[in-house]
Amino acid sequence: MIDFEEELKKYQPIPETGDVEELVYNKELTDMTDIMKEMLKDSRNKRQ
Amino acid sequence: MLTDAPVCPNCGEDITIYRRIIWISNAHYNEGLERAKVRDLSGAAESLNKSLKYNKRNIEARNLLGLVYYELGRVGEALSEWIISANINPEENAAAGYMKELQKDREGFERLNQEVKKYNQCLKYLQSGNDDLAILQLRKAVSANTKLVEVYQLLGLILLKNEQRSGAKQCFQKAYRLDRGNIRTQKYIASMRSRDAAASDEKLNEPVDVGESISYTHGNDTIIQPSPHAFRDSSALPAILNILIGIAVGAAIIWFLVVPARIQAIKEEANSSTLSYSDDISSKDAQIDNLNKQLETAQNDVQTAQASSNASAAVISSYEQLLTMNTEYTSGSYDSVTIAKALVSIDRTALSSEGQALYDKLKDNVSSKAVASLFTSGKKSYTNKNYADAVSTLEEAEAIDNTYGSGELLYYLAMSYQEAGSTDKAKTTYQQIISTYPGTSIATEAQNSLTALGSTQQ
Repeated sequence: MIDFEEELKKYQPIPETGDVEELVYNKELTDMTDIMKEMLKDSRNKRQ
Repeated sequence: MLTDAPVCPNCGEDITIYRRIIWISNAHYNEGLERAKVRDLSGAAESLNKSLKYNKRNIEARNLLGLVYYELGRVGEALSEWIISANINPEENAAAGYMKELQKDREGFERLNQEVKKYNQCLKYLQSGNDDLAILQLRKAVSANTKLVEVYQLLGLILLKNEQRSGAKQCFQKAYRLDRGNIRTQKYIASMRSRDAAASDEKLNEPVDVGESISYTHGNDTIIQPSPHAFRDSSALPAILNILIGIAVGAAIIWFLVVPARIQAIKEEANSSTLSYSDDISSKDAQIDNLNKQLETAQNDVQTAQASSNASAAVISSYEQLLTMNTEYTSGSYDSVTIAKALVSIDRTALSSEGQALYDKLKDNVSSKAVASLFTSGKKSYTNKNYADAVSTLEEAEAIDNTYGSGELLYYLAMSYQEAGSTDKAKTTYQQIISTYPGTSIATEAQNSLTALGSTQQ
Protein backbone atom coordinates (compact mmCIF):
# COMPACT_ATOMS: atom_id res chain seq x y z
CA MET A 1 0.00 0.00 0.00
CA ILE A 2 1.45 3.40 -0.96
CA ASP A 3 1.52 6.05 1.79
CA PHE A 4 1.15 9.42 0.06
CA GLU A 5 2.80 11.53 2.79
CA GLU A 6 5.76 9.18 3.17
CA GLU A 7 6.28 9.04 -0.59
CA LEU A 8 6.00 12.84 -0.91
CA LYS A 9 8.91 13.27 1.52
CA LYS A 10 11.15 11.35 -0.88
CA TYR A 11 10.70 13.88 -3.69
CA GLN A 12 13.49 16.47 -3.92
CA PRO A 13 13.59 19.73 -5.92
CA ILE A 14 15.41 19.50 -9.27
CA PRO A 15 18.30 21.97 -9.83
CA GLU A 16 17.44 24.79 -12.25
CA THR A 17 19.79 26.40 -14.77
CA GLY A 18 20.46 29.19 -12.30
CA ASP A 19 21.95 26.61 -9.91
CA VAL A 20 24.52 25.33 -12.43
CA GLU A 21 27.34 27.38 -10.90
CA GLU A 22 26.66 25.92 -7.47
CA LEU A 23 26.39 22.40 -8.90
CA VAL A 24 29.75 22.67 -10.66
CA TYR A 25 31.41 24.23 -7.63
CA ASN A 26 30.13 21.61 -5.20
CA LYS A 27 30.77 18.64 -7.48
CA GLU A 28 32.98 16.04 -5.81
CA LEU A 29 35.61 15.32 -8.44
CA THR A 30 37.92 13.03 -6.47
CA ASP A 31 38.17 9.71 -8.27
CA MET A 32 40.02 6.41 -7.79
CA THR A 33 43.05 7.63 -9.71
CA ASP A 34 43.41 10.59 -7.28
CA ILE A 35 43.11 8.22 -4.30
CA MET A 36 45.68 5.91 -5.89
CA LYS A 37 48.09 8.85 -6.40
CA GLU A 38 47.67 9.87 -2.75
CA MET A 39 48.33 6.32 -1.59
CA LEU A 40 51.47 6.06 -3.75
CA LYS A 41 52.69 9.43 -2.45
CA ASP A 42 52.11 8.33 1.15
CA SER A 43 53.92 5.03 0.65
CA ARG A 44 56.87 6.84 -1.02
CA ASN A 45 57.08 9.31 1.89
CA LYS A 46 57.01 6.46 4.42
CA ARG A 47 59.82 4.65 2.57
CA GLN A 48 61.95 7.79 2.68
CA MET B 1 51.46 8.55 -23.79
CA LEU B 2 51.16 5.08 -22.15
CA THR B 3 52.23 1.94 -24.00
CA ASP B 4 51.33 -1.73 -23.42
CA ALA B 5 54.18 -2.03 -20.96
CA PRO B 6 53.24 -2.38 -17.26
CA VAL B 7 55.31 0.65 -16.31
CA CYS B 8 55.09 4.34 -17.23
CA PRO B 9 57.59 5.21 -20.04
CA ASN B 10 58.33 8.59 -18.38
CA CYS B 11 58.69 7.91 -14.65
CA GLY B 12 58.94 4.11 -14.60
CA GLU B 13 56.10 3.78 -12.04
CA ASP B 14 54.04 0.58 -12.03
CA ILE B 15 50.76 1.38 -13.81
CA THR B 16 49.03 -1.99 -13.50
CA ILE B 17 46.53 -0.67 -10.94
CA TYR B 18 45.98 2.50 -12.95
CA ARG B 19 45.18 0.43 -16.06
CA ARG B 20 42.78 -1.65 -14.00
CA ILE B 21 40.99 1.48 -12.77
CA ILE B 22 40.63 2.78 -16.34
CA TRP B 23 39.34 -0.61 -17.49
CA ILE B 24 36.67 -0.67 -14.76
CA SER B 25 35.67 2.90 -15.60
CA ASN B 26 35.24 1.93 -19.25
CA ALA B 27 33.25 -1.17 -18.30
CA HIS B 28 30.80 0.95 -16.32
CA TYR B 29 30.60 3.37 -19.23
CA ASN B 30 29.71 0.51 -21.60
CA GLU B 31 27.07 -0.70 -19.19
CA GLY B 32 25.66 2.83 -18.97
CA LEU B 33 25.56 3.05 -22.75
CA GLU B 34 23.64 -0.26 -23.06
CA ARG B 35 21.15 0.84 -20.43
CA ALA B 36 20.63 4.19 -22.15
CA LYS B 37 19.92 2.39 -25.43
CA VAL B 38 17.03 0.46 -23.87
CA ARG B 39 15.70 3.59 -22.15
CA ASP B 40 16.80 2.57 -18.65
CA LEU B 41 17.91 6.15 -18.02
CA SER B 42 18.13 5.92 -14.20
CA GLY B 43 20.26 2.80 -14.54
CA ALA B 44 22.40 4.50 -17.19
CA ALA B 45 22.98 7.51 -14.89
CA GLU B 46 23.96 5.17 -12.05
CA SER B 47 26.49 3.28 -14.20
CA LEU B 48 27.96 6.45 -15.69
CA ASN B 49 28.37 8.04 -12.25
CA LYS B 50 30.21 4.89 -11.16
CA SER B 51 32.42 5.16 -14.25
CA LEU B 52 33.31 8.74 -13.29
CA LYS B 53 34.03 7.71 -9.70
CA TYR B 54 36.78 5.51 -11.08
CA ASN B 55 38.04 7.95 -13.69
CA LYS B 56 36.77 11.54 -13.65
CA ARG B 57 38.59 12.16 -16.94
CA ASN B 58 36.39 9.69 -18.81
CA ILE B 59 35.01 12.37 -21.13
CA GLU B 60 32.75 9.96 -23.05
CA ALA B 61 31.10 8.89 -19.79
CA ARG B 62 30.64 12.47 -18.61
CA ASN B 63 29.22 13.66 -21.92
CA LEU B 64 26.82 10.70 -22.05
CA LEU B 65 25.76 11.38 -18.46
CA GLY B 66 24.95 14.96 -19.51
CA LEU B 67 22.85 13.61 -22.38
CA VAL B 68 21.00 11.24 -20.05
CA TYR B 69 20.22 14.07 -17.64
CA TYR B 70 19.07 16.22 -20.61
CA GLU B 71 16.78 13.43 -21.79
CA LEU B 72 15.34 13.23 -18.27
CA GLY B 73 14.54 16.95 -18.44
CA ARG B 74 17.21 17.79 -15.85
CA VAL B 75 18.84 20.50 -17.93
CA GLY B 76 20.76 22.09 -15.01
CA GLU B 77 22.57 18.85 -14.19
CA ALA B 78 23.21 18.19 -17.88
CA LEU B 79 24.86 21.60 -18.24
CA SER B 80 27.01 21.10 -15.14
CA GLU B 81 28.41 17.82 -16.54
CA TRP B 82 29.17 19.36 -19.94
CA ILE B 83 30.84 22.39 -18.36
CA ILE B 84 33.11 20.15 -16.27
CA SER B 85 33.83 18.01 -19.35
CA ALA B 86 34.77 21.06 -21.44
CA ASN B 87 37.06 22.24 -18.65
CA ILE B 88 38.84 18.90 -18.30
CA ASN B 89 39.29 18.53 -22.05
CA PRO B 90 38.74 21.77 -24.02
CA GLU B 91 39.96 20.35 -27.37
CA GLU B 92 37.58 18.52 -29.75
CA ASN B 93 34.98 17.86 -27.09
CA ALA B 94 31.36 17.03 -27.99
CA ALA B 95 30.25 18.83 -24.80
CA ALA B 96 31.03 22.20 -26.39
CA GLY B 97 28.80 21.25 -29.32
CA TYR B 98 25.92 20.24 -27.00
CA MET B 99 26.12 23.54 -25.13
CA LYS B 100 26.19 25.47 -28.43
CA GLU B 101 23.02 23.63 -29.52
CA LEU B 102 21.34 24.66 -26.27
CA GLN B 103 22.39 28.27 -26.79
CA LYS B 104 21.00 28.24 -30.35
CA ASP B 105 17.60 27.01 -29.22
CA ARG B 106 16.93 29.64 -26.55
CA GLU B 107 13.19 29.02 -26.61
CA GLY B 108 13.51 25.28 -26.03
CA PHE B 109 16.10 25.84 -23.33
CA GLU B 110 13.89 28.32 -21.52
CA ARG B 111 10.90 25.96 -21.81
CA LEU B 112 12.89 23.15 -20.14
CA ASN B 113 13.98 25.48 -17.36
CA GLN B 114 10.40 26.63 -16.81
CA GLU B 115 9.25 23.01 -16.55
CA VAL B 116 11.77 22.40 -13.77
CA LYS B 117 10.70 25.60 -12.00
CA LYS B 118 7.02 24.58 -12.20
CA TYR B 119 7.80 21.12 -10.85
CA ASN B 120 9.69 22.63 -7.90
CA GLN B 121 6.74 24.98 -7.33
CA CYS B 122 4.31 22.02 -7.35
CA LEU B 123 6.42 20.30 -4.73
CA LYS B 124 6.14 23.37 -2.51
CA TYR B 125 2.36 23.47 -3.05
CA LEU B 126 2.01 19.83 -2.04
CA GLN B 127 4.24 20.23 0.98
CA SER B 128 2.09 23.16 2.15
CA GLY B 129 -1.19 21.29 1.49
CA ASN B 130 -2.28 23.12 -1.70
CA ASP B 131 -3.16 19.96 -3.63
CA ASP B 132 -5.50 21.72 -6.08
CA LEU B 133 -2.88 24.19 -7.30
CA ALA B 134 -0.34 21.40 -7.58
CA ILE B 135 -2.73 19.25 -9.63
CA LEU B 136 -3.42 22.20 -11.95
CA GLN B 137 0.30 22.79 -12.60
CA LEU B 138 1.07 19.10 -12.97
CA ARG B 139 -1.74 18.57 -15.48
CA LYS B 140 -0.43 21.54 -17.48
CA ALA B 141 3.04 20.03 -17.52
CA VAL B 142 1.66 16.63 -18.56
CA SER B 143 -0.36 18.11 -21.40
CA ALA B 144 2.82 19.92 -22.55
CA ASN B 145 4.48 16.47 -22.76
CA THR B 146 7.23 17.22 -20.26
CA LYS B 147 10.12 14.74 -20.03
CA LEU B 148 10.34 15.05 -16.26
CA VAL B 149 9.51 11.61 -14.89
CA GLU B 150 8.87 13.09 -11.44
CA VAL B 151 5.91 15.07 -12.81
CA TYR B 152 4.08 11.91 -13.90
CA GLN B 153 5.01 10.11 -10.67
CA LEU B 154 3.70 12.97 -8.51
CA LEU B 155 0.48 13.37 -10.46
CA GLY B 156 -0.11 9.60 -10.37
CA LEU B 157 0.48 9.61 -6.63
CA ILE B 158 -2.09 12.38 -6.08
CA LEU B 159 -4.64 10.65 -8.32
CA LEU B 160 -4.07 7.43 -6.41
CA LYS B 161 -4.66 9.27 -3.14
CA ASN B 162 -7.96 10.55 -4.61
CA GLU B 163 -8.89 7.01 -5.71
CA GLN B 164 -8.63 7.90 -9.41
CA ARG B 165 -6.86 4.67 -10.21
CA SER B 166 -7.28 4.75 -13.96
CA GLY B 167 -5.65 8.21 -14.25
CA ALA B 168 -2.90 7.16 -11.84
CA LYS B 169 -2.19 4.05 -13.91
CA GLN B 170 -1.84 6.11 -17.08
CA CYS B 171 0.61 8.47 -15.36
CA PHE B 172 2.78 5.62 -14.07
CA GLN B 173 2.75 3.96 -17.49
CA LYS B 174 3.90 7.20 -19.10
CA ALA B 175 6.64 7.53 -16.47
CA TYR B 176 7.72 3.96 -17.23
CA ARG B 177 7.93 4.65 -20.96
CA LEU B 178 10.17 7.67 -20.29
CA ASP B 179 12.51 5.82 -17.93
CA ARG B 180 12.12 2.07 -17.72
CA GLY B 181 14.69 1.65 -14.98
CA ASN B 182 13.16 4.09 -12.50
CA ILE B 183 12.74 2.15 -9.25
CA ARG B 184 10.04 4.46 -7.88
CA THR B 185 7.85 4.01 -10.98
CA GLN B 186 8.30 0.24 -10.85
CA LYS B 187 7.32 0.24 -7.17
CA TYR B 188 4.13 2.21 -7.86
CA ILE B 189 3.14 -0.02 -10.77
CA ALA B 190 3.83 -3.17 -8.71
CA SER B 191 1.76 -1.79 -5.83
CA MET B 192 -1.18 -1.06 -8.14
CA ARG B 193 -0.93 -4.54 -9.70
CA SER B 194 -0.90 -6.29 -6.34
CA ARG B 195 -3.92 -4.30 -5.19
CA ASP B 196 -5.76 -5.10 -8.45
CA ALA B 197 -4.86 -8.78 -8.06
CA ALA B 198 -6.15 -8.84 -4.46
CA ALA B 199 -9.43 -7.23 -5.54
CA SER B 200 -9.95 -9.82 -8.29
CA ASP B 201 -9.10 -12.67 -5.85
CA GLU B 202 -11.86 -11.49 -3.53
CA LYS B 203 -14.27 -11.52 -6.43
CA LEU B 204 -13.30 -15.09 -7.22
CA ASN B 205 -14.05 -16.12 -3.60
CA GLU B 206 -17.60 -14.70 -3.59
CA PRO B 207 -20.30 -17.36 -3.45
CA VAL B 208 -21.84 -18.20 -6.88
CA ASP B 209 -25.44 -19.22 -6.94
CA VAL B 210 -25.70 -22.34 -9.22
CA GLY B 211 -29.36 -23.28 -9.54
CA GLU B 212 -30.66 -24.68 -6.18
CA SER B 213 -27.19 -24.78 -4.62
CA ILE B 214 -24.43 -22.32 -3.82
CA SER B 215 -20.75 -23.00 -4.68
CA TYR B 216 -17.61 -21.09 -3.63
CA THR B 217 -13.86 -21.62 -3.43
CA HIS B 218 -11.90 -21.51 -0.21
CA GLY B 219 -8.17 -21.89 -0.80
CA ASN B 220 -7.81 -25.05 -2.94
CA ASP B 221 -11.31 -26.43 -2.07
CA THR B 222 -14.61 -25.79 -3.88
CA ILE B 223 -17.61 -25.90 -1.53
CA ILE B 224 -21.15 -26.48 -2.85
CA GLN B 225 -24.14 -26.15 -0.54
CA PRO B 226 -27.94 -26.06 -1.06
CA SER B 227 -29.37 -22.66 -1.94
CA PRO B 228 -31.61 -21.12 0.78
CA HIS B 229 -33.96 -19.90 -1.95
CA ALA B 230 -36.64 -22.58 -2.62
CA PHE B 231 -38.24 -21.08 -5.68
CA ARG B 232 -37.56 -18.64 -8.45
CA ASP B 233 -39.79 -15.90 -9.66
CA SER B 234 -40.28 -16.63 -13.35
CA SER B 235 -41.93 -13.32 -14.27
CA ALA B 236 -39.81 -11.01 -16.50
CA LEU B 237 -41.76 -7.82 -15.72
CA PRO B 238 -40.07 -7.02 -12.39
CA ALA B 239 -36.67 -7.56 -14.03
CA ILE B 240 -37.49 -5.17 -16.85
CA LEU B 241 -38.87 -2.63 -14.38
CA ASN B 242 -35.70 -2.93 -12.31
CA ILE B 243 -33.58 -2.34 -15.38
CA LEU B 244 -35.59 0.72 -16.38
CA ILE B 245 -35.46 2.13 -12.84
CA GLY B 246 -31.68 1.51 -12.79
CA ILE B 247 -31.24 3.35 -16.09
CA ALA B 248 -33.35 6.28 -14.86
CA VAL B 249 -31.40 6.50 -11.58
CA GLY B 250 -28.09 6.31 -13.47
CA ALA B 251 -29.17 9.06 -15.86
CA ALA B 252 -30.31 11.23 -12.93
CA ILE B 253 -26.98 10.72 -11.14
CA ILE B 254 -25.06 11.68 -14.29
CA TRP B 255 -27.28 14.69 -14.94
CA PHE B 256 -27.30 16.08 -11.42
CA LEU B 257 -23.84 15.09 -10.14
CA VAL B 258 -21.37 14.31 -12.87
CA VAL B 259 -22.25 16.91 -15.53
CA PRO B 260 -22.18 19.97 -13.18
CA ALA B 261 -18.88 18.81 -11.72
CA ARG B 262 -17.43 18.38 -15.19
CA ILE B 263 -18.72 21.78 -16.29
CA GLN B 264 -17.27 23.32 -13.16
CA ALA B 265 -13.91 21.68 -13.82
CA ILE B 266 -13.88 22.96 -17.40
CA LYS B 267 -14.81 26.46 -16.22
CA GLU B 268 -12.05 26.40 -13.61
CA GLU B 269 -9.51 25.30 -16.21
CA ALA B 270 -10.68 28.02 -18.60
CA ASN B 271 -10.50 30.61 -15.80
CA SER B 272 -7.04 29.57 -14.79
CA SER B 273 -5.91 29.67 -18.44
CA THR B 274 -7.47 33.13 -18.79
CA LEU B 275 -5.73 34.27 -15.59
CA SER B 276 -2.47 32.86 -16.80
CA TYR B 277 -2.81 34.53 -20.21
CA SER B 278 -3.88 37.80 -18.52
CA ASP B 279 -0.78 37.60 -16.35
CA ASP B 280 1.35 37.01 -19.42
CA ILE B 281 -0.30 39.89 -21.27
CA SER B 282 0.05 42.24 -18.29
CA SER B 283 3.66 41.27 -17.91
CA LYS B 284 4.32 41.80 -21.62
CA ASP B 285 2.45 45.14 -21.50
CA ALA B 286 4.60 46.23 -18.58
CA GLN B 287 7.71 45.18 -20.50
CA ILE B 288 6.52 47.11 -23.56
CA ASP B 289 5.80 50.22 -21.46
CA ASN B 290 9.19 49.96 -19.87
CA LEU B 291 10.91 49.58 -23.23
CA ASN B 292 8.96 52.51 -24.66
CA LYS B 293 10.04 54.66 -21.72
CA GLN B 294 13.64 53.59 -22.20
CA LEU B 295 13.36 54.41 -25.91
CA GLU B 296 11.90 57.83 -25.14
CA THR B 297 14.66 58.54 -22.63
CA ALA B 298 17.28 57.39 -25.12
CA GLN B 299 15.78 59.60 -27.85
CA ASN B 300 15.74 62.58 -25.49
CA ASP B 301 19.35 61.89 -24.56
CA VAL B 302 20.29 61.75 -28.24
CA GLN B 303 18.49 65.04 -28.93
CA THR B 304 20.13 66.71 -25.93
CA ALA B 305 23.52 65.41 -26.96
CA GLN B 306 22.92 66.57 -30.53
CA ALA B 307 21.85 70.07 -29.39
CA SER B 308 24.84 70.27 -27.09
CA SER B 309 27.12 69.17 -29.92
CA ASN B 310 25.62 71.77 -32.28
CA ALA B 311 26.02 74.52 -29.68
CA SER B 312 29.65 73.52 -29.11
CA ALA B 313 30.29 73.56 -32.86
CA ALA B 314 28.78 77.07 -33.11
CA VAL B 315 30.98 78.34 -30.27
CA ILE B 316 34.11 76.85 -31.85
CA SER B 317 33.21 78.43 -35.19
CA SER B 318 32.68 81.83 -33.50
CA TYR B 319 36.10 81.65 -31.85
CA GLU B 320 37.77 80.60 -35.08
CA GLN B 321 36.26 83.54 -36.96
CA LEU B 322 37.14 85.98 -34.19
CA LEU B 323 40.76 84.84 -34.14
CA THR B 324 41.01 85.02 -37.92
CA MET B 325 39.66 88.57 -37.99
CA ASN B 326 41.96 89.60 -35.12
CA THR B 327 44.95 88.17 -36.98
CA GLU B 328 43.97 90.10 -40.10
CA TYR B 329 43.50 93.32 -38.10
CA THR B 330 46.81 93.06 -36.28
CA SER B 331 48.64 92.38 -39.58
CA GLY B 332 47.97 96.00 -40.48
CA SER B 333 46.65 95.34 -43.98
CA TYR B 334 42.97 94.67 -43.43
CA ASP B 335 39.62 95.52 -44.95
CA SER B 336 37.32 97.15 -42.36
CA VAL B 337 34.20 96.08 -44.20
CA THR B 338 35.27 92.39 -44.27
CA ILE B 339 36.08 92.38 -40.57
CA ALA B 340 32.89 94.28 -39.66
CA LYS B 341 30.75 91.84 -41.70
CA ALA B 342 32.47 88.85 -40.06
CA LEU B 343 31.87 90.31 -36.61
CA VAL B 344 28.15 90.63 -37.40
CA SER B 345 27.98 86.90 -38.09
CA ILE B 346 29.65 85.98 -34.76
CA ASP B 347 27.39 85.24 -31.76
CA ARG B 348 28.92 87.53 -29.10
CA THR B 349 26.94 85.90 -26.27
CA ALA B 350 28.57 82.52 -26.95
CA LEU B 351 32.03 83.95 -26.23
CA SER B 352 33.81 84.06 -22.90
CA SER B 353 34.43 87.42 -21.23
CA GLU B 354 37.90 87.61 -22.83
CA GLY B 355 36.41 86.76 -26.20
CA GLN B 356 33.73 89.40 -25.83
CA ALA B 357 36.37 91.99 -24.88
CA LEU B 358 38.34 91.18 -28.04
CA TYR B 359 35.12 91.27 -30.08
CA ASP B 360 34.20 94.72 -28.72
CA LYS B 361 37.70 96.07 -29.31
CA LEU B 362 37.72 94.90 -32.94
CA LYS B 363 34.20 96.25 -33.51
CA ASP B 364 35.09 99.63 -32.09
CA ASN B 365 38.15 99.84 -34.31
CA VAL B 366 36.55 98.89 -37.63
CA SER B 367 32.80 99.64 -37.39
CA SER B 368 32.73 103.35 -38.12
CA LYS B 369 35.04 103.03 -41.13
CA ALA B 370 33.15 100.04 -42.49
CA VAL B 371 29.72 101.63 -42.10
CA ALA B 372 30.88 104.86 -43.72
CA SER B 373 32.31 102.95 -46.67
CA LEU B 374 29.19 100.85 -47.11
CA PHE B 375 26.87 103.86 -46.80
CA THR B 376 28.80 105.76 -49.45
CA SER B 377 28.69 102.80 -51.78
CA GLY B 378 24.99 102.18 -51.14
CA LYS B 379 24.11 105.83 -51.69
CA LYS B 380 26.03 105.82 -54.97
CA SER B 381 24.11 102.73 -56.12
CA TYR B 382 20.81 104.46 -55.22
CA THR B 383 21.83 107.58 -57.17
CA ASN B 384 22.72 105.43 -60.16
CA LYS B 385 19.26 103.83 -59.87
CA ASN B 386 20.88 100.45 -59.04
CA TYR B 387 18.30 99.80 -56.32
CA ALA B 388 18.97 96.08 -55.71
CA ASP B 389 22.67 96.73 -55.00
CA ALA B 390 21.71 99.75 -52.89
CA VAL B 391 19.39 97.62 -50.72
CA SER B 392 22.00 94.90 -50.27
CA THR B 393 24.85 97.32 -49.39
CA LEU B 394 22.77 99.53 -47.10
CA GLU B 395 21.40 96.43 -45.29
CA GLU B 396 24.98 95.36 -44.57
CA ALA B 397 25.71 98.85 -43.22
CA GLU B 398 22.54 98.74 -41.12
CA ALA B 399 23.57 95.41 -39.61
CA ILE B 400 26.86 96.93 -38.45
CA ASP B 401 25.44 100.20 -37.10
CA ASN B 402 21.84 101.21 -37.75
CA THR B 403 22.30 104.60 -36.02
CA TYR B 404 24.77 105.88 -38.60
CA GLY B 405 24.01 109.37 -39.87
CA SER B 406 21.26 109.84 -37.25
CA GLY B 407 18.70 108.24 -39.50
CA GLU B 408 20.20 109.08 -42.87
CA LEU B 409 21.34 105.49 -43.45
CA LEU B 410 17.86 104.21 -42.60
CA TYR B 411 16.24 106.83 -44.82
CA TYR B 412 18.29 105.81 -47.87
CA LEU B 413 17.56 102.19 -47.10
CA ALA B 414 13.82 102.89 -46.94
CA MET B 415 13.97 104.76 -50.25
CA SER B 416 15.91 101.91 -51.82
CA TYR B 417 13.25 99.41 -50.60
CA GLN B 418 10.54 101.63 -52.03
CA GLU B 419 12.21 101.94 -55.43
CA ALA B 420 13.05 98.22 -55.48
CA GLY B 421 9.36 97.41 -54.97
CA SER B 422 9.61 96.15 -51.32
CA THR B 423 6.82 98.47 -50.15
CA ASP B 424 6.23 96.70 -46.80
CA LYS B 425 9.90 96.88 -45.83
CA ALA B 426 9.97 100.55 -46.91
CA LYS B 427 6.97 101.37 -44.71
CA THR B 428 8.51 99.49 -41.76
CA THR B 429 11.81 101.39 -42.14
CA TYR B 430 10.03 104.80 -42.44
CA GLN B 431 8.12 104.02 -39.25
CA GLN B 432 11.38 103.04 -37.55
CA ILE B 433 12.87 106.45 -38.46
CA ILE B 434 9.78 108.29 -37.19
CA SER B 435 9.79 106.48 -33.84
CA THR B 436 13.61 106.58 -33.35
CA TYR B 437 14.19 110.22 -34.40
CA PRO B 438 10.97 112.12 -33.57
CA GLY B 439 10.85 115.83 -34.28
CA THR B 440 13.82 115.77 -36.69
CA SER B 441 13.80 116.73 -40.35
CA ILE B 442 14.56 113.15 -41.25
CA ALA B 443 11.44 112.02 -39.37
CA THR B 444 9.35 114.62 -41.22
CA GLU B 445 10.71 113.41 -44.58
CA ALA B 446 9.99 109.84 -43.56
CA GLN B 447 6.43 110.77 -42.56
CA ASN B 448 5.85 112.48 -45.93
CA SER B 449 7.14 109.43 -47.78
CA LEU B 450 4.99 107.15 -45.66
CA THR B 451 1.92 109.27 -46.34
CA ALA B 452 2.70 109.16 -50.02
CA LEU B 453 2.83 105.39 -49.82
CA GLY B 454 -0.73 105.47 -48.43
CA SER B 455 -0.03 104.55 -44.77
CA THR B 456 -2.12 106.34 -42.05
CA GLN B 457 0.18 105.50 -39.05
CA GLN B 458 2.43 108.11 -37.46
